[in-house]
Amino acid sequence: MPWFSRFLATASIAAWAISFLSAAPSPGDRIAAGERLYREGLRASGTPVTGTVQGDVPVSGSQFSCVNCHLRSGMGSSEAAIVAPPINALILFAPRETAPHERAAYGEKSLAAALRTGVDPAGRALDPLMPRYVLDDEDVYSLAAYLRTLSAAPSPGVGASTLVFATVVTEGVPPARRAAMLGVLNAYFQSKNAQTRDEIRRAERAEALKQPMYQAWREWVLRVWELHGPPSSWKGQLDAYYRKEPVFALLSGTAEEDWSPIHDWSESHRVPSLLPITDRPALREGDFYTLYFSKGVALEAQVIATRLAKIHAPARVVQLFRAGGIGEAGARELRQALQAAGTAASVEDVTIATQESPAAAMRRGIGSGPPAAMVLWLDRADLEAISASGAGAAIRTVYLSATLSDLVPGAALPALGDESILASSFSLPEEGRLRAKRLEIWLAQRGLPKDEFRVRDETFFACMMAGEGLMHVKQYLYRDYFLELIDHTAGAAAYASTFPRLSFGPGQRYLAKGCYLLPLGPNRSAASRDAWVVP
Amino acid sequence: MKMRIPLFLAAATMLAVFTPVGATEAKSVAGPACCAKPQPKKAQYVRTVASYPVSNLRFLDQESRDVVLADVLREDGRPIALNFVFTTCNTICPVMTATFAKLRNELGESASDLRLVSVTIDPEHDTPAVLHQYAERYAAGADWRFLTGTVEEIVAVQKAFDAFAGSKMNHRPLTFLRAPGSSDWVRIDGFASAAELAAEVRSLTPR
Repeated sequence: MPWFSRFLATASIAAWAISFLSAAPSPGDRIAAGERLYREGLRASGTPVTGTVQGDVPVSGSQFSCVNCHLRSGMGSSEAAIVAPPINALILFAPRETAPHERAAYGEKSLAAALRTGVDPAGRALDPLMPRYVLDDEDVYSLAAYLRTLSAAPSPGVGASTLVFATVVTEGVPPARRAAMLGVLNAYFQSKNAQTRDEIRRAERAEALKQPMYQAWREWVLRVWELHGPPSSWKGQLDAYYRKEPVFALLSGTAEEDWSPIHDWSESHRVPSLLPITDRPALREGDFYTLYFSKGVALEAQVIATRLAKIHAPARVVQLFRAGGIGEAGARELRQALQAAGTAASVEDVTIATQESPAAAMRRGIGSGPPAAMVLWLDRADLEAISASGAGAAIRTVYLSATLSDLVPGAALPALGDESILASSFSLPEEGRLRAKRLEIWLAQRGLPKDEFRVRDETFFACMMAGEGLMHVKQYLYRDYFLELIDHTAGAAAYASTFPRLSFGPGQRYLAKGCYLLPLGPNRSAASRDAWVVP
Repeated sequence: MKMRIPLFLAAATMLAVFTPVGATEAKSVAGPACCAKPQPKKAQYVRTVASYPVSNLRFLDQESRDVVLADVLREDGRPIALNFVFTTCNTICPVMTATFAKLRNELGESASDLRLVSVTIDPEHDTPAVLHQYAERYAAGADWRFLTGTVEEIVAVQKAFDAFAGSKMNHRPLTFLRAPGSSDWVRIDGFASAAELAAEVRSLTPR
């Protein structure tokens, strides 16, 4: 009976399909499971993968996931003579022909053998530093599916002959700052392209120079992404810009407002954002894509808290700020940091009311008796008003924020307290002067002014880091690899003049790690090694 | 004053006193391309003996306690193992730290008779709180101190142990072992398995 056999055939195909589907996850699920294994060291069951390194040292996924050594891009890493080789899609699943490491392309079977027993397709033992993992077939299939997507093609924003960057500027940015930043960016791009245009021609024409090194050259293209209106609308504007033309990375950029919406956009689109000029960075431990100079007032707050916990606890600490500004963010962070330090210090917050003079608020904060210390999260104008009023005369120690006040250690601002201590992650004047020479000459050569020097310095440094990163990625134009190589560019910190101590490291996203705590007035001793405090 | 003893000499002179261990010149262990057979494991490290000045440098440990290096390393009848690591390291530090963790198990009942010291080479990132978390990840007990300090002090201690490579990215796998009653350090340059390190530690402990 034809209808019956047709029914049987359909039913059996359906049954087969159902059993197949229930046994094997969809390709998308497999890739997701593979990514979890690669990044977090978790098997499909949710348990950490286990393995052995060095022949006898047991390890688990939380310490030894793939990403640990081969990094997010899969392009591997090296430290001194120890090399974790690249295992991205293009390299792992292609034969390797370079002696003495020739091998056939990996497939699922040979990948399983390498992961479990440490033997490569050529029968060679992998380095004992590569863990021998306990994995079932499904784990290997998932990992292979993920690896086939990992750094498989150049990132968006990479054209055949161009590399597109964007810089974000918001409406509220003062014109002088905007002009300073864009001036440096444009001049840097122009110089860069002037230097490399011949390399592109060489790569095209000279047979002998058709080497990977020359394939890496691209013309740098800069787009300016202007954001208007409230920060809540920025995400939509960024999406629209990106849809129109994807960019490889965001470079420098500046906003008056909290950087968080731009940060979150970068993170969700996996677009690197290199060194924005902001006093309000997003504080997100564990995020990957935005690299900041510093945590700004949050870092200053942590440093002040470290000092307070050491010398004033337990005691009364009063902090003064204006509502809604970065001063309030600093005050919040200080309170948290003191709590985390487990001090018994009581912290009182005083906000300057509308129509109230800073001096009156200061007197209100002092109250019945002078506190052990006051922290003034105020700008220069407010501090000068307090200084002129003499309201702080009874206070022993006053702490100030360099980010808010723009003061430098040693500056004269009398009668804030017996002693006014400035928390600053910026260079001391004498440190900065020497380091600024390079940029001063660079600006002069291009006919650019020196105003807004800090903005120019930070922009220039961001460009330098992009150049460093791209020089090392060579033709492997993957965003994650670009950031990973910047993480390894430890020596470049000397090129910044605004910040005396920037330090790079894998996954470290806030480069300044400490502050000077130095008094205002003539009696500061910058030579004191204890002056630099890391919270 | 540092002595570099050629390996065969060191092995020969120590044979009578210590259990000799299989340290050889550090060479790649990659075998010929033909054979899939597991190869007998050759040691991947170089062993030398040296004396380092232990100074009064001050550090903070993972519990934020102020410590003086000379006190941390003060003789108490137990052997001591010391290395340099940093917590965001991608490559060699996780292996070195896992090896230290395993080393204590390897020594079995005598585990508490070994003191471990890990000094960070990235002091501005590796604060006591960060080191505390890192120590927890490797279930380090009270006998394993993690130390951080100022950049200057950390450079100084690396130089004191002839372990300063300029940048943390040029960091080398070095382990230092000291026997009870000795002022000399056994310097292990390269990767030793936990069993090899344990054998080295046992060889330090006179019976």
